[in-house]
This record gives sequence, structure tokens and C-alpha cells, in this order.
Amino acid sequence: MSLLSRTEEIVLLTIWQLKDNAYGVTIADRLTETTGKTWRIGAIYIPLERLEKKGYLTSYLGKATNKRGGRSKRLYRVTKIGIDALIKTKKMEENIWKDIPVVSLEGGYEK
Amino acid sequence: MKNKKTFYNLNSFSVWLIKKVFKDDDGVRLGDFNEIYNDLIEEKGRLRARFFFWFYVMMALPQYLKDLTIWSTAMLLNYMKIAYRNIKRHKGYSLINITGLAVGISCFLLIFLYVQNELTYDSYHENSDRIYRISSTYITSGEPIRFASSSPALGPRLKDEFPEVEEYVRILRAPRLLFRQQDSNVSFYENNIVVADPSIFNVFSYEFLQGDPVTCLDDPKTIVLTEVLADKYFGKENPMGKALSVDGEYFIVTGVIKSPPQNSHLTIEGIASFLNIPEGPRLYPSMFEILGFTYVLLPENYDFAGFTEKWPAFYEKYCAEDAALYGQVFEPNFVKLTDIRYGSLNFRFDVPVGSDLYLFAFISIGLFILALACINFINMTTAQAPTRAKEIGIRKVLGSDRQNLIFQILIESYFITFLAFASAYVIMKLSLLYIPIEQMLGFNIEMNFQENSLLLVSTLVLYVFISLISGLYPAFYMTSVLPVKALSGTLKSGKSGLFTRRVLVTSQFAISIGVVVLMLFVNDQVDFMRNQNLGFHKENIVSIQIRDRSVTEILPALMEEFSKYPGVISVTSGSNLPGRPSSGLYWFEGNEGTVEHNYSVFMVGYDYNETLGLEITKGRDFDRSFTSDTSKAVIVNETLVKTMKWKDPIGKRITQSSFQAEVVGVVKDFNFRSLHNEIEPLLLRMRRRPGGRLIMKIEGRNIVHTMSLIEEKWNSISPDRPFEYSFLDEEFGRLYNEDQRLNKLIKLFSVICVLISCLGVLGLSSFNSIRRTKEVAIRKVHGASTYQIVRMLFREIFLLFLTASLIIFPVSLILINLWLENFAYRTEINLMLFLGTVIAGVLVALFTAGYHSIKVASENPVKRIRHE
Repeated sequence: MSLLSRTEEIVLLTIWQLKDNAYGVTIADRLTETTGKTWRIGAIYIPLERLEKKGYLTSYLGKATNKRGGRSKRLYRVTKIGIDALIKTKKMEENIWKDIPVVSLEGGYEK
Repeated sequence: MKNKKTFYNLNSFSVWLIKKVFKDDDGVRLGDFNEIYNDLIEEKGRLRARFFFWFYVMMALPQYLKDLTIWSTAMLLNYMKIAYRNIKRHKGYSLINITGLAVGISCFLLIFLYVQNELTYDSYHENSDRIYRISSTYITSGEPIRFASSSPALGPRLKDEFPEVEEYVRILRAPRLLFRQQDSNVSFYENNIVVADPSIFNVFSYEFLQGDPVTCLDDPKTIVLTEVLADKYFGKENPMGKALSVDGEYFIVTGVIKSPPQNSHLTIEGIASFLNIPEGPRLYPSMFEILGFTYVLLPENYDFAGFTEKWPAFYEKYCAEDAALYGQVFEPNFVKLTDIRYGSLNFRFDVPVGSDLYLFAFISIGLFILALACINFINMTTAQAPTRAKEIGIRKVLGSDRQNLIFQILIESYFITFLAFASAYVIMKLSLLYIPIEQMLGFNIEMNFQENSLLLVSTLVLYVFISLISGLYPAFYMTSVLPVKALSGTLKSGKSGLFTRRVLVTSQFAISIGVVVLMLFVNDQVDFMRNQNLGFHKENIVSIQIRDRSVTEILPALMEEFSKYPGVISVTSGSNLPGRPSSGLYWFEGNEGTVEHNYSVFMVGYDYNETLGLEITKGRDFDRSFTSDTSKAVIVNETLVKTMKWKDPIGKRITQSSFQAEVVGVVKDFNFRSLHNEIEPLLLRMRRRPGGRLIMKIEGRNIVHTMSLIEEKWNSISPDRPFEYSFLDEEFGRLYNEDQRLNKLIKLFSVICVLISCLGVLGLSSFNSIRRTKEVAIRKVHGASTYQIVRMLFREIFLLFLTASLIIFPVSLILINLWLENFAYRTEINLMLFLGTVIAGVLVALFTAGYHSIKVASENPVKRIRHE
């Protein structure tokens, strides 16, 4: 298990937040909200694939709806390994950020 | 919001497009897009939704594709960038690495081309797998004798009687002919002319640039030339229809063909009609008189069982009678065209045949050099491990898994190998220009990647192979670094890495020592052969071929006159010289009745033995006072006496049809063949009339002067022909041409081997010394002297070298013995040679490593320990 990259972390957390409703469209929308950058559906597929290959996600086919023209959706869930990786990454970040108040960072290099 | 909504589906075009681009296997992605579409309809209304949807798709596309390719290409580019930076950072080592590899690859490719050339002899012809040469085996009193040639009567009869013989052609190599261009005085002797049946163009493939293959040889006084010869005699003019004087007779040029490739067993530069052979020998019906080569065209994959069945009937009809007369049995052998060069056939009067042994030697050398270069590469890369440990540690921390790292190192390996190949190409081109490699190997090297598909494929395979072999071990080894250890800087290279490196270096040493030792032995043997006492006078014997009738007529008087010239010691004549024996079938009076043997024969004139320094040990030499000597006397050599088990050879009768003679003397054994062969039985008999060659022994001083006198006299008698002579030691030396060529080449390649090994030692020693700087510094602080340090660093190399020597010693002994079996006469195996090489090798290795070792050992120890 290694540390997660920024993007990986964000995607995993988003999926975690979406609970049982995490699939392509919803993930992309929520990401766009959170990060402020437009995540289109096409940008999502590959990261999702990679994360699943690494074992952080698992997916299953959901119900088909009329809205989707009769096609099912693929729902994602974070795995235990994924959760562990998230926790590890968070801990490391806390470690690095220890004793560095954000305020002093904003002050710049002087002193 | 209404509860019930109508949902719309995407049209089929959209469906198709999305499926294509976004790789949708299970319809999920399509569903996503569908959903997005419907969302948009809700937001923007049906009409505008479509527009927005397409806009969305357009924008989604590049992101998707970028992600897709980023994964593969970006990583690749990143790795390549790192590889490039690494190379720049360690310029010295990279240079050594790449140079070593490049040299190894160039040598290997050159050898590859050579071997390919040799093994594809004669495959240029379209029918090459259907053409067979018929060789003749004659069995007499139990010993079969095999000739490469056959009777001229055989071909046509076979075609008549065996329907499977589609075509036959007879080819006879003409002796050296004098060509003269009509209008000018341009005249040369041509060696590669043949006479052949016109069917030659049906059997073999020759490309006609001018002329008609069907009719060009209809008239006997016509000739077909290769473009090279046409150019030589006619320059820019069109040679068709023009006359060329060949040995005094005029031939009309009726065709020009493209020069056939060099790798043909028969070098042909001009073809004239078979009808030029006088009727007598040409139409002689007996199967027991051979003349020239006969080739037949058979159907593909011909099964010789059919032939063997019908043969007895044929034999009965055409051979049985003569067989009884000659007392022999005749058997034809079918030799595939492509087997002639390398089939190890051992026929008499054959074309020069390739030697498997040398081919094998070359291939081995090529492989060795390549192995050396690869070992170097592996060593150098693994030696870099400690330096790169930090980089790899960080990468691991940042999330690379081991697979990716291995991939990265492999990419570096591919990158460096690619550079090596590019350099190798340049090296090959340059060396072909400046070093006479083509001359040494004996053929024109063409690096044509388009035509030579085997070359192209092999190069690619080699590229992948080398990259993998040289990259995998370092990749696995270097990526087994534990991140924490690497980052804290306390990483030592593991024990296992050291052992492998030692093994690799030892093998390098072993290969180099082996090659050098073998080279020295081959050199020894070749020198030995050159200086061996052959039992006759080799030096300063001139021979001039007698062709003109104007010379033959006055020959006895001419010889008398030459013998009076200052500088001429002795004059004689004869058809044969050592290195060019004839052979013949004779009946010998044995201890139990007459036996028949086919032995070598020399046809000589008076004073032959004296001129060549051959010693008569029993009886007498040919003597002018015995007039019957020219027809009734024979001298035999000691081996013949031994073979016949004669107690008293003088007076024994030797006959051949009308030739009835007695032994009048025994000559001491001398090597009339190369030292590859044991001395065989030999007969000397006199020509009825003097002729063949004029042979003279001249003094060693003032050779030029003597020769110019002789030339003057000769030209006054035979003005039409250029004065051509040769020295016996040169001609005889040509028998060892192949050995000498091998010698030269092995020398060259062994130098390369040593160089590559030195590069390896250089690189390694520098790494070693850097690695051990801290250790050295600590020792110095504790009082070790520079000398002691250097000795310690040297010890490793010394031990490795010693191990290598011990391993390679028995191996090389075996190989040398194998090679020497080729020769009936050999040098002793000089063990001092081996010892000397080892000692010299150790010195070279230590010297190469010396620079770095001394530098490290004499450094100020404080500098190193300060970092702690």
C-alpha cells in the first residue's frame, strides 16, 4: 500500500461521500462542485479504472433506468484497502502539517 | 417537478460514436451519456439540449483521450527523459558502456553478414534447390576415388534415358586465356572463363543485359561476357557484335550478363560454347574419362529411389563394357548445388570448398564478443545501483510499484542499446571505408536492410534481446531497494550483488584470456607451417608457363641458354610443382601380383630433382645418357615404397596401358601438398617432350636483375604474350591462404576482446574505488600506507583473474587440440604461451585499474569521513 496521489485521494473521498449513489455522472458532478474544475465524464473513466485495478475500489452493476435509455449504471464503492490508504495519507499529511499554522504560511518568507 | 417524465434516447449515430470512442463494453458509459443528455433536456429544453450535449461530448473527448494516452506515452516519455538525463550525468560511464556495446554489436553484425554470405552460396539461382552436380566415384581394388567432375558423355545420355532429368549442362573451366581487344593493345589474362552448353541459361539464372539467352551460344566462336569484363575491354562502347581475341582466335560478343553474386562456387566472368572443346575429348563416349562438371535439373524434392531403380539398366547399356576394360566400377553422386561449398565433400579437382571449422570459429568469436559487451553493460549498470538508490527510494515513496520501476530501468536499457546500435552503424560504415575488412574476409559487405530481410529481422531481434538481457538483471537488482534505507544514506550494496558482479567479471577475463591464447596458438601454427622444412627448395624458384609453340620448339636450346645466365643456378621443366600434383591410375608390381592404384604423379623434365633440391636416396635420377628414361623410367618416393611394402624397389614394374616402365630410383619424401596432408605416395615420370613450365632456380642476390634478363629474352621469343611468372614460395604459400586469413582476423578480434574487457575493468574499478572510499579513508586514518591500500584494491582483481585462468586453461587446451587435428604437421603446444598471456593479462588489468585505485588510495582521508 502506498500513498495516494492528490487526484486519487479526491476521487476516493468523493465516492465515499456519495455512499450508494456513486457512479459516473454523480461522481463527475460532485467533483466539479468540490474542486471548481470542470470534470467531464470522459475524464473520470480512466482514473476509476486505475483505482479499481489497484484495489481501492470495487464496482457492481446497478439498475437500468429509462433515463439511461435502458442501460444499467456501474456503481463504485471504496474498499477496505482504499480506506486504509486514505487514512494513511491523511495521517502523513497531518504529520507534515504539524506545527505549521496556515497563517504563518500566508505571511510569506520574511523574517 | 413533474413526477412522470418522458425520457429520450440518443440517436444511433451518437450511440455508435460514443461506443467507438469511449470503449463501452457493457453499455454503462452509454447509459451515462444518455443520462447526461436527459438532464440537459430538463435544464435547457429539448431544442437546445442537443447542442449543449454535443458541446459536452466534444469537450469530454480530449480529456478522455489525454488520459488514455497519458498513461502510456507520458510515462514512456518521462522515463526516456530520465534515461537521457542519467546518461548525461554520468557521461564517462555512459560513453564506456555505449562504446563497448557498439563495438560488440558491429563485430557481431559483420560476422553475421560473413556467415550469411557463406551459408547461402549459390542460392541466388532460381532453381537452386533443383540443381545437382554429378560427381563420379570410381571403385578400384576396393578403394573408391571421388572426383568432382564427370564424363562429358554422361549428361546427354542421362537426359535421353531418364525423363526426370529435365535438363543437363556441362561446364568446363578454361585455363588462363589471353584476351585482347581488337583495336587497342589492351590485353589481360583472364582466369574465370568457362565453356558450357547453351542449356546453362536454362539451368542457372543469369540476367541478360543484352543478347538473347536462347541463341547466344549457337555459334562456337561466340562469347558472353559479364558487365565487368565488357567494361574492361570495351569501355563505354557497345560490345555486342564486336570481336574479341581470345588466345589468338576471334570470338564475337553475343551477350552481356549482369555479374553474378560473389557467393557462387564457380566464379564465371565469361561463357563460351562447349563446342570449343576439340571433338576428341568432347565426344569420347566412355564414362571413365572425366572432363569438366556436369549439372542436371531435376524435379523438386526428387526422390532418388526412382533413379537407383533404373540405374542398373543404364549402367549395363553404357558403362559395363568400359568398366571391364578399365577394371573399375563407376558410380555417380548427386550433390545438391547448395551443398557444394559447405557439404564437406572432399572431392578431387573440386572448386575451393569452405571450411566448417573456420565458420564455427567465426561464429564463436562473434558470440563471445557480444557476450563480453553485454556483461560489461550489466556490470556497469548494476554498479550504479548505490548512486541511484536515492532516486529509486523516492520514487517508491511517491507511489511507484516495483513493476513500474522495473519497466523504467528497462526503458533505460532500451534507450542505451538503441544508442549503441546507432553508433554501431556508424562504426561499421566508417571501418568499411578505412579498414580493408572486405579484403580480409574475402567478399563485399553489403548492409542493405531493405533487401536483406534476414539482416533486418536479426538486428531487431538482437536489439530486443540485448536490451532485455542487459536490462533485466540490473532492473530487478536495483529496484529491490528499501526506501527508508536508501533515503537515510546508509545503503550498502548487498552481498549478493557483489557475487554476481564477480562472476561476470571473471567470465569476461576468462573469455579474453581464452581468445588471446587461441590467437597466439593459431599464429604459432601458421608460422610453423610457413617455416617448416618441406624437403625441397622453396625459395627463389621461378616458374614460367610455356604456352607458345614458338617457345616449345626451341625449348631445349632456350634452357641451355638460360642456364648460362649469371644468377641462374639450375634450369628444368615439368608440368607439376609442389602444390600442384597430377594424379593417375597405374598398375604396380606388388609382392603378390599387380595391384592398381591412383596415386599422385609429377611429369618432369631432366634436372628436375636437382633444381628443386630433391634428394635421391636409392638408385639414380633421370639421366640424359639413358635415352629410354623418357618412356620407361619412373622414380618413386619413400612413402610409395613403404605402401607397396617393397624390399627392393629398383626394377619394379609400373604400367599404364601403353606406358611400360620400371622404377629406377627413390626420392626422399617431400611435401608436395600442403601441411594439412600427410605425405602420400608419389610417382615421378618424364614427359615425352619437355614442356609445361619452365622452372629455374636463381640466386637470392640481384633477383630483379636476373628476372629482367630472363624477361627480355622471353619477350623476344614470345612477343605476343605478356611475360608471366610466379615464385614457388608465393604459390605454395597460397595453400595456407585460408589459415593466414583466419590468423589475421583472429588477431583483430582478440584485440577487440581485450579492449572491451579493459573498458569493463576501467568502469568497474572506478565504481569500486568510489564505493570503498569511506573504507579506504578509515584505514588510512588507522595508519595504512598508500601502497598497502593499493595492494588491497588490486587483490580483488588479481584473484578474479587467477580464477578465470584456471577455468579457461583446460578449455583452451581442448580447443587447440581439436583445431590441430586438422593438420598432419603441427607445432608443439607451448605452455609458456599460456603462462605468458596470463601474466601479461594481470598486468594489463592492474594497470587499467591502477589509475582509480591509486587516486582513491592517495586521497586525503579527512575529505571522506567529514560527511558523517
